[in-house]
Amino acid sequence: MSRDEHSAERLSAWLDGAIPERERLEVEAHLERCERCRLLLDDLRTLSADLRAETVPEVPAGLEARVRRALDAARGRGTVVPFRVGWKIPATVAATLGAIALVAISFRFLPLESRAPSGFAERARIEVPVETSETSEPTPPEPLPAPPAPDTVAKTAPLREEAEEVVTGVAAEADHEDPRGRDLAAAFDAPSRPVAPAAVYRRTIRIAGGMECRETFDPFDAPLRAPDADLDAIAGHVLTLEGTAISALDSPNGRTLEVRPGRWSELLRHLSEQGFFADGNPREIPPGADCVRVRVEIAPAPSPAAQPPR
Amino acid sequence: MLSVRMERADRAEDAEDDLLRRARSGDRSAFDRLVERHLSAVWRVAWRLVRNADDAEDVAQETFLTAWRGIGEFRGDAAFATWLHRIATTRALNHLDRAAERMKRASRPMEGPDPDPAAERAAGPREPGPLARLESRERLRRLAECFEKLPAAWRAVLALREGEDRAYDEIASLLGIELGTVRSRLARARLSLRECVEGGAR
Repeated sequence: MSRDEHSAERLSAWLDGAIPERERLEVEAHLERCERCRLLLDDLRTLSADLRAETVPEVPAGLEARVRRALDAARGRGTVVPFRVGWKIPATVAATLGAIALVAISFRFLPLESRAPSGFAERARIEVPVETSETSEPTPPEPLPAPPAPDTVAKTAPLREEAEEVVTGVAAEADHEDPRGRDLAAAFDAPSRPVAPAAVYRRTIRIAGGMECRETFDPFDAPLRAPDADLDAIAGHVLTLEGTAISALDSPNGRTLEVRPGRWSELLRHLSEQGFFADGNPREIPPGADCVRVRVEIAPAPSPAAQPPR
Repeated sequence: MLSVRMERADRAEDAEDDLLRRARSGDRSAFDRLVERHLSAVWRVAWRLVRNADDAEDVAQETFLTAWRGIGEFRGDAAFATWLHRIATTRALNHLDRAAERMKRASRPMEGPDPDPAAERAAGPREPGPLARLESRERLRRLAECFEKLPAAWRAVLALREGEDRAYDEIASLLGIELGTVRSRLARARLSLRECVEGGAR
């Protein structure tokens, strides 16, 4: 931290009255003998007064009506609303991703024996048989692409510009207008425009929070899975835990959720109640972690044959 | 007089609880009433962060959509207004992030949240210059220009502190950051703003 920044931090906190008593006395004593700091403080005061004096324009006349229209266009409360953003992707990529999404996958998961968080500990292993999709190409079974870590997502965020340059030949269902601008929800939710999974979820959308994590810890090796879960409602729940929910790039049925360690047990309990399954016991959160991250995905429902023996 | 005011406030709170309860069970008309009540506050925080009417409208709309979709999970641990503020702030930051991506090639951003301390030491201390000496209209013009050049994370703390008069702990909670980070970001934002305004907001 530079000298100016050090002084500015103390003066700025002093100006806001957000400084411990002892530090306040130190700052005031220092101000007595430091001309430079007094000048800096004058500037900070001027800036603060200017910013506070700024007027915010009146609420635009049509905004409330616009919000209502958007709500009208949105599906009901708590429903899963896919983010139909305007990524235009090459046909080959669309076809490949579409095939991956359509081909039922082979995976193993373990049902919860209990709804309490500790219920992750005891479970019986079951096998889900591979199902074939209706796609004509014999694509080998592949695991669902795991949601990348938010860091990776952030680095790949400017996909749109690159993708639009190679738009020729994009499958029709993957070619949508970018709905940003006016009635966003209407564009997102227009029911008459089915979107292939490959065309969806091509960018990160932070749903809530705005947390910054220095040391993030994921207590599970693999994403938690539920056969039928409402990811948007779960994202909404994460809001109440003051966490962050991120729609994961290239994982149409996934979210990355982040909360502070103090909220982890609440989140885990909620996920458990929503029927999310884990492949192992959660590891203990190390003391250095300031965020806990968990990936959740909607997994295909197990076939009746795969039900555990009763 | 005071007791009358308090009773009115209690009634308003009751009414809000009732609206929330109905909205949680899927009553759109109740949620519309909540939109009506909170639109102005959401608009204000959106505008203060994005400083552009079109974007602020988008942010406000996205905020209420997110709230409607997530209201079933809102348990009332915090005030509904606080919850909306948190959503609006996050949405506004998303807008700023996207705008920053678009601007990346066009212009060099101001110093980011984690500047290189070695480079700063090499640059030496900056000379202070009282901003009050600048003609006020010119200063405000520069201020508006400089504010938009600040990194999104800094704009957020500054907008919430100066624009919304939020306490440090409230800002920390809204943005999901530590108290110390609020303090250091505010200082860095103010220092950068001062430097930029003094420099004439090129």
